[in-house]
Amino acid sequence: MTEQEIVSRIKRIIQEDIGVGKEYTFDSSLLTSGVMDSMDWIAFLTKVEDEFGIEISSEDATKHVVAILDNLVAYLRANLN
Amino acid sequence: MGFYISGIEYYLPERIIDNDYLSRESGIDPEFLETKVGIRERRIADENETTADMAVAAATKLITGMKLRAEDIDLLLVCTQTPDFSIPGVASLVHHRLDLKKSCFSFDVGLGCSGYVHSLAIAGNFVKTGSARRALLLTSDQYSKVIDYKDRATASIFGDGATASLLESCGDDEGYLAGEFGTDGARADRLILPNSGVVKNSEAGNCLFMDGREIFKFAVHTVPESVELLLGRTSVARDQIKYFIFHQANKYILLELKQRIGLSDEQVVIDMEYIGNTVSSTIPIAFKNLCSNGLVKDQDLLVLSGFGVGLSWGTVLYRHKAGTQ
Repeated sequence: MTEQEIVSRIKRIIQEDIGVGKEYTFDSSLLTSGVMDSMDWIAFLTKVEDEFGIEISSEDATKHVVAILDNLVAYLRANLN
Repeated sequence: MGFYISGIEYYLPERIIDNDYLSRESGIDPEFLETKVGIRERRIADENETTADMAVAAATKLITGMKLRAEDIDLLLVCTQTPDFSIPGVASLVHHRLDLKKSCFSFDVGLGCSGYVHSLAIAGNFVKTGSARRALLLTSDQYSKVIDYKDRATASIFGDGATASLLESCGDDEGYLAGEFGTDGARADRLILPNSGVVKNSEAGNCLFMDGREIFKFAVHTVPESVELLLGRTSVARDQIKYFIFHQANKYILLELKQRIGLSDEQVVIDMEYIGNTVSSTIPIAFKNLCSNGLVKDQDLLVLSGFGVGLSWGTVLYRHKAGTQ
């Protein structure tokens, strides 16, 4: 899967599934910037896992700082076959 | 022969914990609690009020309201995870205080948020097979006594409460029609009260631990599968169901279930704003409130679905029988 496809799917999840109305960027944390609250974040990670057929452990989510979308994209690229 | 719920009553403690209190204790945004979690207030038992006290209060309300005599009850099941004692069970304490007959067999079921539907199937089967004419099913829990109110994951949702349901026989085609149950024991440690049994861990503390992310994943994956399996097996379509009464975990999970299963707003019961997540009591409280408000009619099909500690789940297809009090 190309980086562009990953980015496109993540954007769709944020906008359509989670329904985030606030502006966000790929280089700042969705959590500390207030784009998502803790409930949205849990739902977002679940939907990312479902969408990409991958499991992101809590340890990996923390270690790779996946709340920053650039990091999440890199994580997915590294872990998707 | 089948069985149905002929009456439900519930008891809530008087003390209230509101969002302002939680905001002061743990810094949670009250607006987040109201809009996302869907809870404004929780009822909390007093220090000296026990799980058995609450169960007796709910049962007394039901027995009085339905003009039952103690000797009418053949079976007593108490579903709880916060018993007065590990030994004996709450059912024995309640049996004595309600002055039930000695031939009324009484036992506890140790399940949480899936407990009502499991207990309904267990107690109901004694009615169905004729071993009991009337079964009294009680749920009672006081998570307030095992919660750290600085822990955002648990403090924001749980409230105390107790319910009493009377189960009686009916025709095969009404009341409890079918059930689907399951357990994922591999994830038992994701919702756990450490040091609550014979296993001691000095590093784990004595308060309820909940892995919110894991519970969310479990709920939104398992419950839709369970509903689909049950409706498929019984050849019932989603739109034939008047109400889906899910365990009232929090509003966010219920809205996610609604979306994943493909239900309308009207079909999904949300009833936790002023009581919180009362564990095994959420489903009977929501059912009772529907009945009291005249929103459920004779022969309406309902789905009752609980999920939580275990991790376990249970989904029941139920045809409402007029006269449920």
